[in-house]
Formats: sequence, C-alpha cells, structure tokens
Amino acid sequence: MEASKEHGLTGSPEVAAAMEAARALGRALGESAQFKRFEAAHDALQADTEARQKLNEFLSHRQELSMESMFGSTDQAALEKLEQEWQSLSAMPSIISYLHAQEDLLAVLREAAARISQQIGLDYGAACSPSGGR
Amino acid sequence: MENNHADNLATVQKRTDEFIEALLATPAIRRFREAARQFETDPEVQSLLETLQRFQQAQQAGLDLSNSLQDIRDLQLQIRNHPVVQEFLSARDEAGALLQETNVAISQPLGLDFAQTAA
Repeated sequence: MEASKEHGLTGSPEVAAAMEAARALGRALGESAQFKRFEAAHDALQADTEARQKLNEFLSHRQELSMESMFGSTDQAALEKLEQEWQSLSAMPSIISYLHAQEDLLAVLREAAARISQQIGLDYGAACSPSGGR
Repeated sequence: MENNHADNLATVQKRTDEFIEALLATPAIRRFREAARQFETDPEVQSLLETLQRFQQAQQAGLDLSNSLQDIRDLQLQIRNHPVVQEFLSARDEAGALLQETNVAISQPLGLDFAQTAA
C-alpha cells in the first residue's frame, strides 16, 4: 500500500513533463489557422449587431419551444416560424463564417482528443467532465 | 497559405503525440493501463461481468427477474468489492484527476474547455 503514495499528482517529474506537454499542445492549438479563423469569426459576429440580435432571438425562441415540447405541446406554427428564423439567420455572412470556422476548429480539437483517448485507453472528454464520466 | 495551414496542423499533431507520450510515462496513467489490463483479463471478474450481462439481457428481453433480484444484488456487490475492480476504479479516478489538470493547461490559451468542446 505504501507504493500507492507514489501515484500522487504532485512532485513527480513525469507529471511536470506531462503538464508542460499539455501547455505546449494548448499553445499549438491556439496558433493553428483553424483557431485563429474561429477567433476572427467570433469577433466579426460580435461586431455584427443585426446578426447577433437575430441569433439571440432565435436562441430564445428555440429554448421556449423546447421547454414547451417537454410538457407535451408542440406548436406547429411556432416550429415553422423558428425554422424560418433559422433560414434567414443561416444566410447571413457573419453567421455562415462563424459556423464554418466553428466546424473546422471542432474537427481539429476532436481529432486531437480522439487520438489521446485512443492511445491512453480512456475517454478524454468523459474523464474531464464534471461527473468524471460516470 | 495552404502550406502554412498544413504546417500548423502538423505541429498540432506533433504536440498531441508528445503529450500522449508524456502522459503514458506518468505513474497515474501507467497504473491505470495496468489496472485496465488486469480488469479485462481477470477470469473471475470477466465471468462475474458475463453473468451480470446475462441478467441484463434477460431483463431487456422482458423476462420476469423478480425471483433473482437478491442474486443480482449479490453479484453487483461481488463485482464492486472485487480487488481487481476496486483497483481499476481507483486507478481510473486517479488518471481522471491527472487528465483534468492537463485539460486546464491545454484549455488556458484557448479560452474554451478543450475536453468539453471536443467531446
């Protein structure tokens, strides 16, 4: 049982090396073209008042509707209106750029996480979730 | 531009592999991998798990298991208290704690939660 104390997180040079490697990975991701494009698209969306307002309206309508459907009533007309709102939103250039940039960044992040999970034999996302994947 | 793009991704891949390598050298991940190997190959544990799985399949098939509830509870307890299972769960917790710390370090320059976003 004494040996189990050596598994502690602090004080081990291997852990220090893993933390340094984690920081280096974070920096590499931050310097990737995908991340920079995502940041730029995010800033552009923030600056586009009209798109942001439409997006907020859409999100709040969507939330209202999903609350309603939880209690069993789905209003067909409201659903169609939401669909129309999405159509008009997804035609706005700043929204299109944002969604594309987000998709490209997600692909990079997912690939890295999948590689890590596969090599260590533990789902990285689940292990890092607040419930610890259980 | 395209070249730059490819270089960026190659760097990400390289850093990912270096991170994996560093993780595999830590006591927590080594312990977890060994515990997982024991868990997957221990004949007693596997046999207990298979028995439990058969009960679950029977339940899914709609069979009445009301007479077997005590057996199922005993089986679950036996699995939970098995030293190989206990070591696996404890090692997984320890590995999870290390991974969470590394996730904070990866996420920090990004301003988003790497593990949650990639999940």
